[in-house]
Amino acid sequence: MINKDKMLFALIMGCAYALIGVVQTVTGISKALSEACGTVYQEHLIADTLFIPADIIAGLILILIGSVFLYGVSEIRAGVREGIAYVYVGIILSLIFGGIYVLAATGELLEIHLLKNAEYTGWTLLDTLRPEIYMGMLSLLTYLKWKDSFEVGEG
Amino acid sequence: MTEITLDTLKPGDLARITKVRVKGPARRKLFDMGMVAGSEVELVRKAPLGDPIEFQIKGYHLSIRKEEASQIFVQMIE
Amino acid sequence: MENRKIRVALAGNPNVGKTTLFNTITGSRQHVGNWPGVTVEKKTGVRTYRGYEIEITDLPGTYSLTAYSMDEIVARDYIIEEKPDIVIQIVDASNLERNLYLTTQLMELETEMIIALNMCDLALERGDKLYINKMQEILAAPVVQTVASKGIGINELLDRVIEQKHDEKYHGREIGYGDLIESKVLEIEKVLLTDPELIKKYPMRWMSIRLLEGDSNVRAKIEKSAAAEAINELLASIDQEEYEAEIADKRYVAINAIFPQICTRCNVRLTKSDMIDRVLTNKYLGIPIFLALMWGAFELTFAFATPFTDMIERAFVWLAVNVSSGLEPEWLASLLGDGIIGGVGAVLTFVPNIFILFFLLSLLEGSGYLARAAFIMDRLMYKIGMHGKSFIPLLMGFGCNVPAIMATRSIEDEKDRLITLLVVPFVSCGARLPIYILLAGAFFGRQAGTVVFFMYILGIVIAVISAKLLRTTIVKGRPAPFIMEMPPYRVPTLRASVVHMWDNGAMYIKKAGTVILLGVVIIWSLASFPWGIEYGSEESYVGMLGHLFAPLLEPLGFDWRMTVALVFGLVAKEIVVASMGVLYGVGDNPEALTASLVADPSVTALSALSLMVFSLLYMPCVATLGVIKKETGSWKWTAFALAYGVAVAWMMAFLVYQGGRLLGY
Repeated sequence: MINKDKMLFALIMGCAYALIGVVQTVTGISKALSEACGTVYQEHLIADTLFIPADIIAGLILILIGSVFLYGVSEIRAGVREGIAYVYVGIILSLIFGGIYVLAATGELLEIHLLKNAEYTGWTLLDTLRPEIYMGMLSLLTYLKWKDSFEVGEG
Repeated sequence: MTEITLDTLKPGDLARITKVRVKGPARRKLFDMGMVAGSEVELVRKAPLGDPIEFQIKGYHLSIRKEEASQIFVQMIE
Repeated sequence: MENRKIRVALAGNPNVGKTTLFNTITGSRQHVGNWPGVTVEKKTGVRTYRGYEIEITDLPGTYSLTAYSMDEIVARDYIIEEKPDIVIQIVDASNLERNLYLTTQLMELETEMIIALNMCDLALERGDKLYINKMQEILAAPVVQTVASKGIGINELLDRVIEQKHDEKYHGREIGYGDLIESKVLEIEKVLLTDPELIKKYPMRWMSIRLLEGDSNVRAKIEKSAAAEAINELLASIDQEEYEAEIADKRYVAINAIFPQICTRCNVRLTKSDMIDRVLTNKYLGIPIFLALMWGAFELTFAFATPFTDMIERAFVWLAVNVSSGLEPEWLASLLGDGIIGGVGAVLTFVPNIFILFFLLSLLEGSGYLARAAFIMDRLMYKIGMHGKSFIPLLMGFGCNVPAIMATRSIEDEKDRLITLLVVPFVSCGARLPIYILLAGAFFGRQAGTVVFFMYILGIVIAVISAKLLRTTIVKGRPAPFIMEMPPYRVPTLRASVVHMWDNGAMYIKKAGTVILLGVVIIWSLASFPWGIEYGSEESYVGMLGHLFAPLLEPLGFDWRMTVALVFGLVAKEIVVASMGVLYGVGDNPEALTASLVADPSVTALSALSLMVFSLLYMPCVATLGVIKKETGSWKWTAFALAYGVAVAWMMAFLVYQGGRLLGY
């Protein structure tokens, strides 16, 4: 039952994306608030260990990707065969946003190594790591494994 | 058989066009795209805001606004 | 000597891989320009094959050859009037029925035809059975199976082109329309045949059929003919609308007769593409996904373009310093250094952004998502008097107005396009942000973010109101009907996207470049003369202009310095900040500029706000004006865009400043 695998995967991905997204949005909001009030922004422990930046919009997008996965889970559970499409699109979105931040990181790398921009002193490669990237990697592995099963006979 | 207009179909409904009453340049364009009397159309889906509507016709997908769809008459096919 | 040159035209529906085929055949030997008199893109390329020089013209992608859009008129006029040796129709093998509609019309143009049955792999994969021999027989034209994206079948196609060139015999074939229509066609044809000029130029049967269908473009062609009067008389007695329906119907009847003979297939109901669409146009998720993708595109554009933008900036600064330092006479050094290199450099720093935006746009288009974006947004856009297709150009405007205006090319209807193009400049582009940051930062403290945000909202609101206003006044009428194919999703090819990016980026540099250069030189002259004064100072012409216009702008709360800065802003809006730096004598030190602005008694928070509003709206920068001129092909509309912008900006800034004063600020 290949659909069961996919459903489980979608459930895990959906929850992970949604949770990380919520943390990212909340830290984003609290950072914006503390800036507006003039207090010093304290990084949260969870956010820090999971490399979650304070970014409201990007956080909302993570929640959205999570919702696509979870929508798929609910459709599959309800017996809608096309529910698998949500898992597929979820993976694609996850890859797209992973790719965007990998390219953005490349841009930063270029900025540092070609232009030696002073703004970036003390910058390490780990600074560019964010949930979009590692979650995207996860999707990439899954996509490579399941690539063909989306193509034929699935729906 | 009763004639209804294309915009009253529901997703998945299959119908045959009986008459195109659209006027102006849109008329020609619709003909060119295969919306001629006798063609079979299936309503595929509506846009998130309810308009336009996507149809399957002649083996491809075409979307048109409700406004034009309401001037195209069809008969349901079971 | 044998003629070794063959002129080939590529015709076909949109989304059938026509451009890919064109790129595969011609490689890099292509030329992109416009068809004379219209802003429809014309691509030509040359391929040398077996000693023949094959010149290929890529016609606009069309579903039909009626006169519905400019694309269709351009395509058919080329075939009729330029008479290429051979027309290749690219047919999507997985969508034969609709593609054959164009074939029936091409047949009537009495031209030699070859059918390239493209994307055969897709059709065969899903279980279609194609009968090529039968197809050749019925259509009386060679049929070649191709997969353009993989380069399959190209040589065979070119072989056929050469064969066909040597084949003297014309393989005509046409479809019959039934007795009633045929008798009318004959009647018209008889009248047309009285004019020998027409016989020489046009296919008679085609012309008669078009006239019967009420084609106004063809009617214009015979206007000067001696037969015109008789034709008009004849047509006056005929209900063309009825015939139009009848003829289209008969074409499809003919196709329905042909189709089952050349293709049988298992009818695949739910394809992968359809599955994806279920999600992407989902009632709840569709719009959020669309917005997320657009936001991602901007994030990527700016994040990835920054190092390149910085590189260009540094290169130009270096160039300006090095060129002007050793140069005599002094005015030439200043013209080159301050004027041309500085100004052009400022405009060229946008090139990386423009290239990336075009690349992403082409990915969206190639994947088929662009059609869905229009589908999703049409309802909203229709309400404000625009077309679903207008949304993407407007959105691109947030990055840079220039590619946004160039992207309006995807809108077929002239009026829809004009309106979109005229309101794009109100969308706050990236270059306006530094102005807001400086002024909001200096005067609004913690509320700066909110103020900047409202600037963006104001831009959108003005764009929407303007669209409505234009619809009810100058560009009357309703948005064109939304009749659009939703092509299947495909993985876009990198090659096509790179080519598209390069073509459009290069076009910006080349065409807009000339206008930009002109603008830059004019502004430099204003700032440098009378000779001997400090560049851009109070005594220069621009300073005088500032004083001259100051009374006009005084009700908005601006002094002459701001006026001068705004004049400089014509080159590129972020120059406003730099020139205020010069005028306040602090150079490019933002902290010092902030301090001197706050210290200046003539600049208050209210006048700063008014200045922000004015610079958001007042006029498109030189580069934008350049593309507006290029895309509308009219100085009149360019001047209108400029004047309208200034008028709106003045009114809005007046309302803000005087309204604020009334409220006691």
